[in-house]
Amino acid sequence: MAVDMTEVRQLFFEESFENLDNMESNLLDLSIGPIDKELVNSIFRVAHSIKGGAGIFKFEHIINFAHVTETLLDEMRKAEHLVTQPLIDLLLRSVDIMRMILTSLQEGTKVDEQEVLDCENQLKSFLKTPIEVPFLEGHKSTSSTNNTIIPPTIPPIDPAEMLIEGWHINFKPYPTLLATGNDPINLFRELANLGTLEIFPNSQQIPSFLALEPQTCYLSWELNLHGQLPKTVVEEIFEWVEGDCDLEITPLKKNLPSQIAPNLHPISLVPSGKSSQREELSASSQKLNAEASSTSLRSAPIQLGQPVEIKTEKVETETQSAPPFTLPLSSSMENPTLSIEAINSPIPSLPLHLETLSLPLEDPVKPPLDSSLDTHTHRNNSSEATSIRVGIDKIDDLINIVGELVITQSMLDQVGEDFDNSKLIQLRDGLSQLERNTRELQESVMRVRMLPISYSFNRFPRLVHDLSVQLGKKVELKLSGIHTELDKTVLEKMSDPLVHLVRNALDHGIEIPLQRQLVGKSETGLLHLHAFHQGGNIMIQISDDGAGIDLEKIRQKAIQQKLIAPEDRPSEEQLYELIFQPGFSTATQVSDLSGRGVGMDVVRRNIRSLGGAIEVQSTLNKGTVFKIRLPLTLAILDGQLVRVGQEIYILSLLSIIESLRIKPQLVNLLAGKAEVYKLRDDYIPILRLYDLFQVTPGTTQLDQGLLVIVEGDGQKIGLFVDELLSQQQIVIKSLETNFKKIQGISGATILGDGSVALILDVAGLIQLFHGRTQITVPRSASFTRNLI
Amino acid sequence: MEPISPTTSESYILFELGKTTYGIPSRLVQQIEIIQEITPVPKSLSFVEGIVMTRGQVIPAINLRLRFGLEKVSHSPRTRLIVVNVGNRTLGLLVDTAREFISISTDAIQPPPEKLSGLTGQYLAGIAKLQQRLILILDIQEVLNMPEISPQDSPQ
Repeated sequence: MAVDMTEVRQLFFEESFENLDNMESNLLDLSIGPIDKELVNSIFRVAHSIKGGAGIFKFEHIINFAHVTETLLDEMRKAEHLVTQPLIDLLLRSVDIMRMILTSLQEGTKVDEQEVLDCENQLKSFLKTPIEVPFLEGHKSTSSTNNTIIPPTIPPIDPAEMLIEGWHINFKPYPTLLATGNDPINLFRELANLGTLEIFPNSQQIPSFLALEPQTCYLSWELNLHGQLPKTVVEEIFEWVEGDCDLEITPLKKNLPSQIAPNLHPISLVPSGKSSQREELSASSQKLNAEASSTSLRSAPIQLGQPVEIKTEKVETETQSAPPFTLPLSSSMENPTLSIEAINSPIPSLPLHLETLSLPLEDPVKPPLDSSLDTHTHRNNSSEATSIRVGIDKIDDLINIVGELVITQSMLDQVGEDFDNSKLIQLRDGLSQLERNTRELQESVMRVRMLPISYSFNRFPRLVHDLSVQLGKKVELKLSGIHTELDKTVLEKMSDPLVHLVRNALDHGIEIPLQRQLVGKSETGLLHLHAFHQGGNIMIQISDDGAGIDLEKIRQKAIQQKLIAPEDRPSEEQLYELIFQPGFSTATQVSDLSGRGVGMDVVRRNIRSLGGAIEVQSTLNKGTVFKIRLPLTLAILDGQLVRVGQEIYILSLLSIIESLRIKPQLVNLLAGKAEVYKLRDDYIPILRLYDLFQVTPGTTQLDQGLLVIVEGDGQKIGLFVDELLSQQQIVIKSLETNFKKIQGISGATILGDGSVALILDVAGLIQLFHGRTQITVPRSASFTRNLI
Repeated sequence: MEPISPTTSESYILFELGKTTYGIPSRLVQQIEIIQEITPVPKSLSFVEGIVMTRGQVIPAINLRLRFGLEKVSHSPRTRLIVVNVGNRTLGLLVDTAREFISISTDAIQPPPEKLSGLTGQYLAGIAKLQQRLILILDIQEVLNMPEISPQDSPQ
């Protein structure tokens, strides 16, 4: 039963992070005042399932911490607390802490215990019911291997239940229980923590060994739990298996044990001790082996200190090899008949074997119990393997298309078998069908990589919440178009730029409430993130109704930084352009938020590296809009084919501004060698591609070719080419995989005729051009004018 | 290089450059192609004739004649592109012709003579004598071990 724990771990982390995200957004939805029970319930469930999941891997930190959080949420759920801002903030912080612990566990780094403890204490200070100290032990001794199981807090006991001696539990799991990942032994351990527990397994349903299905639960149990406990506590333990079993909990009467079928033998489960587990483990494992080889096996009530680990060893061997009993019963090897007997007789301890099937501890001497050790061995796997959740509809689409493709293929196959001219039409039909299938397949495969932008947007409610508190501003965040999908890589790379823009909008854009009132706006500012499709691109708009960008201020600052001359009258567009220059900031004071070294220039560079563009529009006192345009995917671009001599090059359509036929009278020579072209008010340097790439051109006469004006890194340049060819979708192939990076070339692609064409990288070309001419491409028109 | 043990033999692809026959271990060879069209790449060394597409990948086509300092000849119908997998990369080698696939026992391969220096010398793994023929076994790793054609900013 070799379950790949690495995979399960990875799943746990992914799920937990996702859960925490949900918890966070739910917390932000909580309104101050009375409790929204539904919401608190769902928050509670997150904490609970994280605790449960962590329990499987024995991540003490997270178990303990989640437990405290859960307790507080439980109290909220019972309406013992009013929702207050500090409470929400604290819970948000606990989300951060859990995230931090999970990240540390995943990466195998050390958990910042102080921080955890600090937050935990704060959480506890909110609690009405104090939690007993034992939980803390997990924190103090991380190196110890003990797996303290946390007793749930015991709510006050109903007076009516005070008289009850305990509970009799009739627990009949459905055969499928183990398949759901639930393990009765865990339930029993929790029960054992509540009081003295007697377990009477009923193993009558176990079939002969050969018919035994290791994943089926054949057992049922009757349990006696002694202790004055409310019924709800007991029920809560079985919460997870609800629906997977028949459960009956009745008050325990003193004479009850006699009601139990006489062939059932009690096993008492003692809560695990704190002594070294491994020693005890091997000791009791020997003990078990010895016991198993004796005939007393059938009737011996077994007292086990550490039942779980021992059993697991046996389970491993039982399920891995067909005639297995000789292996675990190593001491009884000389007496094979006994082993066979052991197989056929329902051994009282066998039930426990089965229960522990889901614990894949392979080696009893060195089980992966120590969570820190565990983390180290798995660290690499967990940080490298990223996965993507794909909707089943997308997969179904793929399967359908592949099905069609197969049909088309067999059809073409038939046509080709004995081909003659009469089948020409069939061939043509088949080929056009193939083309359609291929295109659909390509689109569907691309869709698999697409994720809704909500993955990125969802972090903003929290960010806006925190920042607005910090800045003393009131901000309403509006998200729209959150289902717009874009490529996973694009999404990941867009994350930082978006955060920066949102921070900016809050920091510089939206004013403090008082100031907003002064200019006649509502106290609460509006920040709107909007994503949508537009002409094969994804557009993301970040708009605020804040102060807007003061162009005069930018102009002053630019003069101060000697970017423009005082007498210059730059256009609005050119002034906005200045925002994206490195080191340019109009913030009068550097706050905690701005001035972290990530400027607008970085934002733009990131967006450009994705083949996108950003522009800004602003009205003073009305607000600012940043518009980001992104390609749908990185693997395919819309390309314009251009011809230079015999060679074909590809330009991204996004980078092309216009193309024109050159009027020779508008060409000027700059400093005697660099040609510039006067385009309206701009002077565009001309780069003769044939010259740069040293190919034989169709023409060297400027008026016989075309000038393609392209933009890269904020600079424009005119590429002189022979002619423009078609526009088409280009599949980008990397040059670096087998070759090397070439400046000015971003990749290659195969054209329809099977030849390879190079994709030009405009920003790289401009840099190459600088290197050749030693003349900077002018940034603004006025600069050029001064020179000429 | 694998240790040379007397009884084993390995299969080699033989190709010609000028009048010399060279051999490379066939396990490194992915395929041999008749060359179609080679797209020249700007700003690269003379022996990188350009790039070609093979099995969905872009690979550089290296003219071995130029790599070894021989004179360049124009492509003929016999010109072949030997696609090799070296390290984690796939590259194409342009040779005059490639026709033979033979097994050479390791006995027949002698280490290159000390005296043989010069450009070709350092790229030889050994010399095989088969009947009347002399086959130069290339150390292809060494031949292609050039910083000029390696990714500068290796992603991994």
